Amino acid sequence: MKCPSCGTRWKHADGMMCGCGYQFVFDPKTEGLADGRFAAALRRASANGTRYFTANQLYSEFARRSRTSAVGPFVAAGLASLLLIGALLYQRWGLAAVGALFTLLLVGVGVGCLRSRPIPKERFDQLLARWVAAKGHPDRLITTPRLDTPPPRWAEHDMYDYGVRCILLVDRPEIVDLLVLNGLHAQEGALVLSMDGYPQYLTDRAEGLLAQYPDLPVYLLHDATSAGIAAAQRFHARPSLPVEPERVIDLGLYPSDTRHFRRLKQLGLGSGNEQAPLDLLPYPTLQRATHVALAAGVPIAVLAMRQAAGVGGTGGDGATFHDSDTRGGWDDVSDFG
Amino acid sequence: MLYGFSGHTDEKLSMSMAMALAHRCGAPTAHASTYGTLGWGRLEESPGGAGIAVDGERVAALAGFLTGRASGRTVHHILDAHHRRGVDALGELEGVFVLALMDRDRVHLVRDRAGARTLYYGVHGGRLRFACEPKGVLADSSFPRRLRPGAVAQYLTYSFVPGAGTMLEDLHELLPGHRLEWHSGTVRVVPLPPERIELPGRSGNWPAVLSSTIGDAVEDRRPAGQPVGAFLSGGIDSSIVVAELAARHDAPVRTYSIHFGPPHLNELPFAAAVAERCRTDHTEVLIRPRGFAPRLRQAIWHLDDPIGDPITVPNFELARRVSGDVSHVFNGEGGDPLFGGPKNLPMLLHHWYGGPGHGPGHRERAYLESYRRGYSELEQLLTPEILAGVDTERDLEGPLQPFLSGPGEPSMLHRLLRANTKLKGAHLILPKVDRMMAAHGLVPLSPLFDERLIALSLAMPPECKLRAGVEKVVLKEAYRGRLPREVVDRPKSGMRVPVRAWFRRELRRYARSVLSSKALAAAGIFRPERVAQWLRYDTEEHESRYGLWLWMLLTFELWRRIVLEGEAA
Repeated sequence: MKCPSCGTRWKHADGMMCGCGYQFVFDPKTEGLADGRFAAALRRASANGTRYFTANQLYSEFARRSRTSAVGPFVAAGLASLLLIGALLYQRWGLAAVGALFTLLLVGVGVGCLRSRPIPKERFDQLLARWVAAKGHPDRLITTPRLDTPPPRWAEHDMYDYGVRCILLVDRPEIVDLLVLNGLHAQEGALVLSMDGYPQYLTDRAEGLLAQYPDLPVYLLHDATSAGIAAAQRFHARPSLPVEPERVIDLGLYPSDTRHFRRLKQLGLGSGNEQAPLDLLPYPTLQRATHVALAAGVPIAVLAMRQAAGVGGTGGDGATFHDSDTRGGWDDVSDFG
Repeated sequence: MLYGFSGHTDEKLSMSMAMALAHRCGAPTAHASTYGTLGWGRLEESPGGAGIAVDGERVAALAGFLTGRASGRTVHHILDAHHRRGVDALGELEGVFVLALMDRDRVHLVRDRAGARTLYYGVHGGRLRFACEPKGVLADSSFPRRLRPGAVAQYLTYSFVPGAGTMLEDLHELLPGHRLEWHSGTVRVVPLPPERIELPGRSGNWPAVLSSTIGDAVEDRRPAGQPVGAFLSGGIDSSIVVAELAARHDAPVRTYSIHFGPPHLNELPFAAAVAERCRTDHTEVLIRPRGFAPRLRQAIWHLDDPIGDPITVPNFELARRVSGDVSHVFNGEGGDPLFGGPKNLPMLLHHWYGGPGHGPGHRERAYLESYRRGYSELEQLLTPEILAGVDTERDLEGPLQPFLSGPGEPSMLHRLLRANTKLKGAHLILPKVDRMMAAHGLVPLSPLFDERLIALSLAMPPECKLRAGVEKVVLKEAYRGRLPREVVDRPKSGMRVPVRAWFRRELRRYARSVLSSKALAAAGIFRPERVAQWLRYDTEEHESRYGLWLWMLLTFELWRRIVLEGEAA
């Protein structure tokens, strides 16, 4: 067992507490899961503790890795056996036989991977609960609303006088927290709210903005789930803000869109009819996709599809929203002229 | 060019300072007396006012030019006014200038209110030294070169060093709109009296007032009868300046745009549309690392106190190209900080949401985070020895505090305007333009940073600048009929210098060589393991801006080797 705290390889027989004092949460022998893997998912979801993230994003990071590791031991054992057999075949029948054997091996690994399934979300939730109970709540994990308290009353008279570039409505309060705490609202000049009015102290502002600027763009962003789609349909049918329904642009995800996203396919959601919350996408992907979708005014899935077909969707300098790591960030902008 | 020192004559020192600044003019004029030495040289035929004048035991030199109410005055008038009315006369100057006046054993240094020209000074061995660029003061080999840890953190956070400090402990910058007085071995710095600028009118027709004032600012700067150049990005600011020039100038106007070649984004079609509309002689200049890499050290040497904005070197390269055509070059710098550019809305929105993070200093921290330089990286990048000398509240939040949280300003937008103008404008934009142009003997002209426009911007209602998330509203309204529609109505995009791509390809090897672990460990400023992560692009952290970070680091390291280690530029 590799200790996530000090990096030591600790022998299971020596107990569940590392020499450095780290108490292991998971028992690899009985649960097929080591703390290191969970900690790695946490590191990636939180960008080494620098980014806010949701439980779905943590699940997405964890399940993506646990999926391939399910066949890992079999692949390793098979590879070792086949190498041995390959050496024998080479001595007897030469290179052609070895080639045929390795083709067989690749097909086998491919089929194995295809048949493997990511860990069920319910099972992951249990693991997360155990981790939280043992190690405490991860600092930037969003589980309860963090923006529900209004800001202080500012001394400056003009804090709210300059409007925004758009209003972005999402289907869950935790997506508001995710986007705002990570600064997307500031980067896009957007007022981000949930369709059901979170944070409550900003709904009057949104109404005021729409009354003052009737042409202000209003966008919806939602999950490819029954609940997410229903929320968007409800808003279109009876908007909770003073905006004409036909002026509201839906940028959200639908089940048929899941096949356009690499991460969703990695999670076994690529056949086009599965339920997929928006935050199964890694934050950089979600951020970049939202940025491009807001600029173009078309759903993020359309952009993903165009990108897959090689007809745009990138923001320049190779920053594509298929990047699931920090390389897909923002361009470096200077002032000139 | 302007330089000098107090005390007894020292021909060798005078010569060294003049040599260090020789790129700014041909042969300088130096006046030496038992009280001190003052050197001055003309960069090029400036619009007016510059020179050196002697009156008995008093001598004054003005570099730059005077505008507005001070238009037409010369350094002789200044000397005369000082004789009659004392230092009060020095506070009435308007324009783009630095002034030195020696009155027997008393030295006065003055810098214009916008900070369009720079002045540095230091005291060592009982002698005051000053020059329009740091290298002038540092030409004295005995002058101490002690790195200031707080300035390293400031540089990484802001991409420039804000305030009166510089990267060196003993070298200081005279703040814009301030006067320094040296007497009996002590330095006293005082602000100039508040601007008393008469605005063209307060009729409420702000677009008309604005275009009239911009017209005056361009008029005061243009050298009659000479061909001029203008940097034209395709954004609204530089386009406005070109439109005004094209309407008024009586000699050819040449415009220049840069691009970085495919596959990088560019704004060339917008610039070309403006050039066509204004009938300028337009040139597109390709900037590539292969071209500028051999001159990178030279550019950093010219830049002096380091500025980490990646646009500096493209500016340097463009100036090099332009210097064969013209001697005066206009630009559109100033539109963003003065008229509600893109940095304001993120800060305003920060105040809309509640939740955690609204404690003391939250505004300053939010500003630094939204500025998106290396603020979040300091703990991991700097060595413990350097970090020990950094006081976050004093060094990083401190320069912003008077603007963002100080008393007396009821408008948040105007707080941001002042902060952006006095910090980024005076310490990054204007010094960058000044040094990169002067490196090639060019006169930089930034009419949008005119003092009258700063005053006008603060006088007009804030919503003239930012409305419904749309930036620079009044500028757009003022020039809507005079510029192509697509230039007026498109959102600000900024000049995208593709440093992220460059450090993965063309500059990769160079950066790895300059920022090698061995060299960094020897210098003891940055943690080599963190820099290695940057070079591999794999910190796996939120908002990692490897291209910008590496550029800042490369600029700093080259500066450090040239200035602190004495390597050749």
